[in-house]
Amino acid sequence: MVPVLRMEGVTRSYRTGAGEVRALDGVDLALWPGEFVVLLGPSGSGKSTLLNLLGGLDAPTTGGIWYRDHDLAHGDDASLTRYRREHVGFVFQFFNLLPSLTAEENVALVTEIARAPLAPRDALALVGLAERASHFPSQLSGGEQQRVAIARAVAKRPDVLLCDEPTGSLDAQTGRLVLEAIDRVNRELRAVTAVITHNAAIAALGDRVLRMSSGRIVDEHRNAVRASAGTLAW
Amino acid sequence: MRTLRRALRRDLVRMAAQVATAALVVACGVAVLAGMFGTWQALARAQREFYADARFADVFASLTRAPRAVEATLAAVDGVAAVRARVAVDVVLDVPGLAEPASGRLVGVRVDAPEPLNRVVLRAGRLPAPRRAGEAVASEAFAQAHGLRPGDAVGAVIGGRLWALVVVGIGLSPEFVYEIAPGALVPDARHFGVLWMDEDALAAASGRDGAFNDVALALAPGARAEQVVADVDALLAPYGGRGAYGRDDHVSHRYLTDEIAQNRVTATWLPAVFFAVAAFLVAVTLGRLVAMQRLQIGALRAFGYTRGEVAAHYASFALAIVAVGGVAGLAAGTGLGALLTRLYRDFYRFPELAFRLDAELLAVVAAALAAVAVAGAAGASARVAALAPADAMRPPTPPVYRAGRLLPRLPASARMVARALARRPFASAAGVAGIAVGLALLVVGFYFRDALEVLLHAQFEMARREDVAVVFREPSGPQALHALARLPGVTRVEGERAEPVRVAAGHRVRRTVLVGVAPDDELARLLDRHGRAVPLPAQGVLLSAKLAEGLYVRPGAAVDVELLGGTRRAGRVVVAGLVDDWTGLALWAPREVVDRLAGEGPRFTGARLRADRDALADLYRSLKETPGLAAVALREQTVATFRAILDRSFALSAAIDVGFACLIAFGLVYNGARVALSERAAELATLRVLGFTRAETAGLLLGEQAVITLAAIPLGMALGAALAAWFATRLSTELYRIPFVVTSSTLGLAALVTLASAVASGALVGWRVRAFDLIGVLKARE
Ligand SMILES: Nc1ncnc2c1ncn2[C@@H]1O[C@H](COP(=O)(O)OP(=O)(O)OP(=O)(O)O)[C@@H](O)[C@H]1O
Ligand SMILES: [Mg+2]
Repeated sequence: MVPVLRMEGVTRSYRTGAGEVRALDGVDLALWPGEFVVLLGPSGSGKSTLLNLLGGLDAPTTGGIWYRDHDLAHGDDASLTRYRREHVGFVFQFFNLLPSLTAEENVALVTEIARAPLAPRDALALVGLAERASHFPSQLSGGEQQRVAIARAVAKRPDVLLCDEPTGSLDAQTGRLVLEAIDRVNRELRAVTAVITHNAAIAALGDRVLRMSSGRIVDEHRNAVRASAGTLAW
Repeated sequence: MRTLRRALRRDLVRMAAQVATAALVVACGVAVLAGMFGTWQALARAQREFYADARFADVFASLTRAPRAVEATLAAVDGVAAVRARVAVDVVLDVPGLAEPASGRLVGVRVDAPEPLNRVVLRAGRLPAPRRAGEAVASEAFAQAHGLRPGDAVGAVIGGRLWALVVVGIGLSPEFVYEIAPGALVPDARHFGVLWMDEDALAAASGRDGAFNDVALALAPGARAEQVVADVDALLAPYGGRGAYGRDDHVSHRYLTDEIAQNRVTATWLPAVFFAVAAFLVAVTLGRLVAMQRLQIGALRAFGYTRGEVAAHYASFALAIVAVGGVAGLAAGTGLGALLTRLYRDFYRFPELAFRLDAELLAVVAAALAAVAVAGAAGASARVAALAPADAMRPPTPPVYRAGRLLPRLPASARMVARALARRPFASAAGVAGIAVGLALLVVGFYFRDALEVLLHAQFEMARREDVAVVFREPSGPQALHALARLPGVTRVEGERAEPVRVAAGHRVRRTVLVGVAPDDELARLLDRHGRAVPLPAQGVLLSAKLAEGLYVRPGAAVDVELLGGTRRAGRVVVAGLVDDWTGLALWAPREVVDRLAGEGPRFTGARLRADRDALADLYRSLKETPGLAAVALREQTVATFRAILDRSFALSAAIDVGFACLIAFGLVYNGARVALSERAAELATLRVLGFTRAETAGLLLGEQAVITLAAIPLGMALGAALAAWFATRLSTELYRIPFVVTSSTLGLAALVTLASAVASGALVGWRVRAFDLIGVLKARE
């Protein structure tokens, strides 16, 4: 079997007024087809940086990143844009819905530029929001907004689904619904899924749990059984 | 993309007020551009076509009298393509229904063969029948001012005899597009008109059988006007030639050409002001939108929308504003253009003067709109394109404020305002500049009115104080003055001798008049710029300051004066002083000095009369029948005409100026306050939660705009005064001068109007603070 995403010796440094910050410091990683990976780690440990690199939002300072046989480390803006457009679904901590578009339109925003997308309604149905299709973000609760964001991320049938603290702004109840939606998408669409969280309990959902600290992956363990979101203790 | 377009539409609706403000300013710019540029085009086109169709001449000359045979000699001059020698005389007219006398210019016209030059275009009726002295074609302006129709009669004293001229037609000529009496400040169609009569009949009636006293010539292609002027001049000198001149010195042509040139300038810079303000408003509105939607932009990029697609999305926001403003502006501009051309039709008479929304005009408007869109969208679109998609993953960084050294001493609220201003120095400065420009426009608009009031006062109350001025048909002796003194009600008569001269200093030459006056004249005073009388020197001449400027001479220098017409005697005289007069270029000297220079005298070419007010009606009646007068000018009537024109043209332009200035101030303040409101809603809501009153909160919101407005007011006043000074210099031509005056009431009114619009828009935004949904604002993350 070949990994979907592969990182080798990746570092990412930021130049700031106070000197150089090394957000990632030599990361090797492979993500396998259909795998659900949970990223844990203290604030500032480099989780978001890692996810951004996997999603083609950013390029490493040194090291290599490949999506199948595409080189993501040296891609120009156009090729990275194409990679994101065709293969990646994002879910952000702050939802990032367009307030001027309804739930369905927010999903359509992505399906319009995708190759073989789900119908926006079906994508919303996947996260249990079919009846709220014509609501604007301001008319939805935080959890509902995040589920719309998930529908938007999965509507293109991505090969890679990346979620940065998808439940970070939500309470336990809604957080569970959101995780359920991600879990379901991972199972039904077989997308490689990476989820960042501060909540160790969520780790039980994944096939594999990576723990980061100071820009490195310091611990890795595999769950024998994946828990289901409904049964999570928050 | 469809969904992205939908988002655009909704953003436009959500920011409707700001979008509308920017679109309105765009619309004003387009309206002014289309209206004024179109009017300029219309005038230029009308001039071009009329001159070509009616074969407007290139060189002109008048003389005392020459035999017809000289026409052939003139035709043989190198560079002359066509000649038209004719009779033209100035007479006093008695128009039915007009108590006072009017002045007229009778021009001979060929009725049996087509005119080679300066053709009369008939608007109604027909040309006079051959050799019928009793028939005339009246100029359109004159006919309209009196409601003359074919069949009506006008009395004219020609060659000492009173004629009843039957108007058989109404006409126009390229020579009299701007029909203004010689030496007048403004056209007065009630008191001055042109009448065309059969050439031979006019020659016979005025005692010029077989002779001519006026000539027009067309240049052959490639001929040099100066050379032809010199040759014609030399040729006509023995016949009392008063100096040939080219189109540049032709009064109607000069006024028209100056007006067209001025129009072109105004049609450029005035819209440019609006477009600059509009581009700024678009940039601010769009910049705000981009700042607010930073996370959305990042998200779009993360989903795989390209840089170009996202930048284009925001650029189309600017395009939408510009398109809406453009369409509205074109509609308004068409109306403005039609209105302006209609106003012009009263002063400039063409067979056709029509505003047209043609391809060229549309192209100019489109180019201007494109410039606004690019200028307005460039900054924001570039920022959008440069935004790293990874930013979408991060919450927005709070704005960077600077502490500033002076600030700690100020109260916290003032510190907030100061930092808000300092955080966007460009936007703050542009806001100040925009409001200042709006105010300056207003100052300039009011300035023209003030200037013309001052001019009216200076010319007709300070300098000229006669009731009636007359011009004699021929230079006359003192008995002519005695005859005038015997007219009913006349209490004072002052004679003058005005001789056409060529005055030269080195290679600089002007054609003008030398006026012989008396030191004790009361009715025409020679004043300097402070209104003080300039003493008439025993030796030497006084020069119009504008003439001295044109000749580059100062008091003490000498100029060469050559009398044109008659003897052509010449002499060198010293410039003894300068007179700040308002029209034309003249020289003055004691009348005896002029007599001596001419080698004959005493002679008078005209006189000024003062009369009893009660006897004016009688005086007017007698003047209509007095033989030997070529023209009559009535001060009271001139002032009334001047004032009517002032009131009519300025009512409209003042309304437009005030409207524009209000819109600019309102738009800029409104936009700035809305941006501040949306940026700082959370901050302000926090203050409300902390216990600040609504008024205090609104004060913090609007403080920034208040500072901008208050800073703009003195700047706008200074800019307005500078612009007015610039106009005063630019518009001070050799034909007339416009004084520079900026009154405190003009400045005050302009400031008041600006302040009022700023306060109105501030109040409108401040009102929103009242309606703050405190919980909603605090809940929102941004
Ligand atoms: N644009 C940037 N400029 C400078 N430093 C940055 C930038 N982005 C991230 N960093 C630094 O890189 C390190 C890793 O950041 P990263 O956002 O990946 O952390 P994280 O693990 O996602 O933390 P959190 O759980 O708080 O989101 C941090 O120390 C951060 O300050
Ligand atoms: Mg993070």
